[in-house]
Amino acid sequence: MEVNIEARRILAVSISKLYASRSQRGGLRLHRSLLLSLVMKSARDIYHSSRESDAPSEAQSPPEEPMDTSSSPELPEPQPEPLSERNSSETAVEESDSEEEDYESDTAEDKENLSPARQSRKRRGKASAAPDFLPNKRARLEPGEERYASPVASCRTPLSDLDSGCFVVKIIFLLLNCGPSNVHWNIQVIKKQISEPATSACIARMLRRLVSFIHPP
Amino acid sequence: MAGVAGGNDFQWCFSQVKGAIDEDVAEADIISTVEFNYSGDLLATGDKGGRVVIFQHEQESKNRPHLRGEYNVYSTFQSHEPEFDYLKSLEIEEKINKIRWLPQQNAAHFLLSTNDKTIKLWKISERDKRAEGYNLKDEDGRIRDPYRITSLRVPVLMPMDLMVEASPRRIFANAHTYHINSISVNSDHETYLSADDLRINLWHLEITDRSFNIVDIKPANMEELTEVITAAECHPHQCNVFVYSSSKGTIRLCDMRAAALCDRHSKFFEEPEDPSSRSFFSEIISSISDVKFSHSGRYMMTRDYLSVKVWDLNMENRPVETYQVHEYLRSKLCSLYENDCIFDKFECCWNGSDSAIMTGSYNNFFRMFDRNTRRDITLEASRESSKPRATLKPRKVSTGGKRKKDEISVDSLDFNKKILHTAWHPKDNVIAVAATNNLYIFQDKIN
Repeated sequence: MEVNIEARRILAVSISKLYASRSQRGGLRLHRSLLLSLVMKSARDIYHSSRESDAPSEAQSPPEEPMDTSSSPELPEPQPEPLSERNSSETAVEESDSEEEDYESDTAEDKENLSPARQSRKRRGKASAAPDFLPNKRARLEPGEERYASPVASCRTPLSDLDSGCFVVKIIFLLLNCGPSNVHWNIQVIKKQISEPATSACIARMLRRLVSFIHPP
Repeated sequence: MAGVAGGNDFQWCFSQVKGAIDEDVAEADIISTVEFNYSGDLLATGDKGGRVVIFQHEQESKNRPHLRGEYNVYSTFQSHEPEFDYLKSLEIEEKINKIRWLPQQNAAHFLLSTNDKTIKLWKISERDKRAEGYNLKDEDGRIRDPYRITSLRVPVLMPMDLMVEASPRRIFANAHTYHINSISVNSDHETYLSADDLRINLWHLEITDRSFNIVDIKPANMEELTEVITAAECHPHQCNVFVYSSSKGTIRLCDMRAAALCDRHSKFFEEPEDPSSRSFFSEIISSISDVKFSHSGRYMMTRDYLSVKVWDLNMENRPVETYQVHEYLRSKLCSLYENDCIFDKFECCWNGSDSAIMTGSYNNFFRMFDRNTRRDITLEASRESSKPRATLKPRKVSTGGKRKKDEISVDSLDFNKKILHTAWHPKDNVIAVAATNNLYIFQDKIN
């Protein structure tokens, strides 16, 4: 269990390092990015192997993990809300994080891409919901294609990685909103936020960018 | 013998310190490379501000024979300026990554300096005479009215104050997509190589618009990238041989006679990993930060985060010698990862006779290892012991258990003070140690 916590912490640190290296003078260092990605990989592997071994014992106690976006009976089903209301709630989140300018601009960009037809608040099953979070590795989207509706076929990540994808998403989300210093594992907050289609699209973009950090074009 | 253990035949003593004493260190003043020339008379430093400072060894004075002569500033010039790559929308830092001297051919000295992208060949020459009395121009350089010239005047060379000029002779640009980490002048004295994260190029010193790509490890799909080139060097005697190290802790030796593109190595040096010491950071700490051939060309030395290894070129499966530089940090890797220290790139160097090696550590400590006796010593570059001829006291870091007197505990080490760059005089026991913005010069004191 301790290894698990350690792996989680190292993953969080690694992501914040990757995020910070964007603003590094002289551009992204390939050597550093590669080493960071290797640490993330081994942390992820250790996290998963330790979780597998802990799984039977975790089943009894109310688990913090894994994060399940598909069914959360304790949460009330979110009501469809007007666009303006959602925007204002997002702005509140952004204001708490003045440093993440890029995140702000992304959100702004996302508002443009929101089409009324895609505002379905219906939750999907895990298998179909998860690919939304995973990076779309194509350089750009086709005209008219919506960012958060990347088809499963375009996603090269195998399904076995979906869980880790969700896990990374959670960390990124926390980092982007709280900053690395005060990451709290508030699962309720994450569940609530992640159920928003706009948020998940935003996270998907973050992930895509993360992948391009590790493997610059 | 290099006096590594201290007290045996000589001790190291303080000679000089260069740079400001201020606690407030400007980023641009941080020394990023140190290099003696082939004779050891000149010592060049490069800094993060793109400047190169050259120190010259002054002959010892007859009045004070105990002083072996000091290094004084000979020339200072701005080698690289910050640039902007408009196509990639990326700033190019002016920081000098490496300096390499060329063997001296005439009165002038030549060196190569590089930042992340551009290599420059500089000529450093002296001028102590000035031509005066031109026939067609006046003293200010203006052309004289031809009608007023009534007699022929031949210019004469008049003595003047010594002036040292540094002029860029060649600029080797636009050949590297990634960041240049190494340059190395070949023993043919005509060519040199430059290495970035994924490629190594071979240049002729006279030709700037063309270079030959001799190594390319870039995978077709960057998602399959597993290693990068971290350092490269030409063999000191065989102009067809060079080595490069990788982030996986391996070293490849290539022979340029085998093929134009040396993607296939001739020798592959790798030590099997100890599975018991695997951790989150195994990949980072096994990444090689520097590789240096011995002067003899028989051995090479590699530095990784915690150790320095000497390899015999005739034995690929393991190093002949392994020295722990700061093994006590193995238990601190997590915090060193968090504060980014784990990414520090320590360099290493040989002494003139290849009998001792030196490399840096934290807390302004540097380490020396005697290869014959296998003894090691930790010394400190500090202002406190910077009295002329003061003997350097060996330092000790307590590794667990009770801390003895004069020992320093691992937790009180200052990780902001690090010695990444050191140089050893090619003939004498004189060393140059870069500690942030200060350059310390130490020399031996014969007992």
